[in-house]
Amino acid sequence: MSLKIIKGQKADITKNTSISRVVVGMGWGASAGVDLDFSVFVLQANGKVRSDNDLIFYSNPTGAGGAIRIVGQEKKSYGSQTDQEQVSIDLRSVPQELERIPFTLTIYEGDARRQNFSLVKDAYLRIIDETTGNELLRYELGNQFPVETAIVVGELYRYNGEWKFNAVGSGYSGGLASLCGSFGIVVREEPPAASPPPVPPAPPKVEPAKPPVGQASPPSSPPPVSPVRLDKIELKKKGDVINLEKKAGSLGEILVNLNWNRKKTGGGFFKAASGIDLDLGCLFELKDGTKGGVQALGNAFGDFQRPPYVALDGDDRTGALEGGENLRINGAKVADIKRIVIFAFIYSGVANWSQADGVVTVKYPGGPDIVVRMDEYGSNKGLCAIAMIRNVNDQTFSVERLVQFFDDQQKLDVAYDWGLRWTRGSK
Amino acid sequence: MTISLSKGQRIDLTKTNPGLKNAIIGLGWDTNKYTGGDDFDLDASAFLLHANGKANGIEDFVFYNNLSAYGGAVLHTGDNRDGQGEGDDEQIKLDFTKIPEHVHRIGITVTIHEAERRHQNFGQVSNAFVRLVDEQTGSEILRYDLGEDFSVETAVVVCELYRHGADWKFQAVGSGFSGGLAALANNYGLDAK
Repeated sequence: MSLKIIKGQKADITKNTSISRVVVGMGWGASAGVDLDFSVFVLQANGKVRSDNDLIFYSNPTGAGGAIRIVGQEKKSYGSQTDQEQVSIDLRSVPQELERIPFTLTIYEGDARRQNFSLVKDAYLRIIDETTGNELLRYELGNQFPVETAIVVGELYRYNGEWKFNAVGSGYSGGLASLCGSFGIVVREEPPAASPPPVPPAPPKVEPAKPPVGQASPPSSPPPVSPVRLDKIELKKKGDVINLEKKAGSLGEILVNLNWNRKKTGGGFFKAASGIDLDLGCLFELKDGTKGGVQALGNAFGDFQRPPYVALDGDDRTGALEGGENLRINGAKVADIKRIVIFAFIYSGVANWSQADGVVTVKYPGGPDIVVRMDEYGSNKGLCAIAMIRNVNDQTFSVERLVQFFDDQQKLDVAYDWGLRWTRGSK
Repeated sequence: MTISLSKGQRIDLTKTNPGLKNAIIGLGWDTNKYTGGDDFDLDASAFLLHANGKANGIEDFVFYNNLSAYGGAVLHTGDNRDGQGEGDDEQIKLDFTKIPEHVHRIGITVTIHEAERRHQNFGQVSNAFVRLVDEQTGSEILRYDLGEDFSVETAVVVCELYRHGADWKFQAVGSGFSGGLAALANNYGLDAK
């Protein structure tokens, strides 16, 4: 019995109920090439964060003293729907001084790429009673955002000692930076457009830029307030390598996302079978010598908790899941993993990589996203090796850009000296 | 000594404040501080109602296009287009000595201009209040904070002043309507589009 609410509407969540834990689920469909980020802010009565840690996003997945947590691998289906993002909130444990929790979507580099929320369809936010699994309310964002690059979809807030929800549905044209600014977070100045983020030139493995907090930084004087990094690091040339930054504790969950263009040449959207179906997969090699593949073909979906510590989410056959395909690597098991080669292959549709325009993003807690674009076109081979992930001293992983094309998995295997036996499979 | 009213509450005005001749009705609000979307333009209006509860014509309707009624008995101080600034956003002044006998009740409303086209409603308006100030002494007599009662409405009857014998009383109404100012005007007997 879910309540449908419209923009501006306010709804009671906890009043006259025993609700304490809720899941906020969100989903959306973005046009190709639109890079959408999801974040949660936790604000005091003055509308500002206490510190940068009150910005909860993929790199900082928990906040408010653990009361708010982005659900990663353990996302659940409620009412036969598994949202693109789920945030679990224990409303009773949210510290008293925190009064508002806005849920936001932002378009990465929206202004530079001349993209805005008119390119985002079917965005919704729903609130689920985590205890019963019942959907309490649902807000569909609609399409009325011709200039915005950052949207506050809605916010949970305290009113007279209870929690309510407001379907805000309003935004800014300055992207995540303007959102952060309005919520009291200082964002590091973007470097001038010409100079890409700190990616070292090819061979030697160089440490990428460290987070500015608590790290010795090179000569440049440190900024007065520790800024939040919103940057992404793009591996642009073949052989570019970067190590994942490891903070205290383990690496956590490393998400490898493949997304691609679902647009037909000449414009217009289609979700029919005539589209390209890209599949994400990998070959893995563990320290104990175990080798294998994780891919939808042959239903080899892997396992996150047990070897190979790599798991593939459900296969996006229809293109209906516009977030693309996800592979998750268990960073806590770094010492057990030797190397992983990430690849994409065209399961159906022509081998037209320029049309597919694939992008692989490696996301992990505490570090900047790492982006590899499959932007070397003209190959009619059906498989693209995108990145090699290697164990570094059992402490962290390095990510190396490959972007090399092969006829099939077997050729890939040979090229990287994996040594598997291949038989044809289907899904 | 301000008295804080809650929704529905009625209170004596001239009886307990015998010197009150000129009152300022101050209305204020905050709107969403987002850069996307259209600006908010909220308008305060006064409907001067006869014994039958209706306004008779434009002379009984004080709003941004008709700022004065009955020789300044009811006076709108002007349209504020953006709700910026501290304190009252719009004010309506009443001179109780000049209000004609046939006006029995005065409805004070706030509406969102072009709400439908701009996809706006009172859910995006916060901290809305009405307060009544004695113009001569400058002291605030009462205040009613509208709170969280509205969301999808585009028009709100904030309060009503009404005759009770020889005196004026005040009621905190806080009723929301959809359809904006036109719906309210029609409700009060005017032909508006």
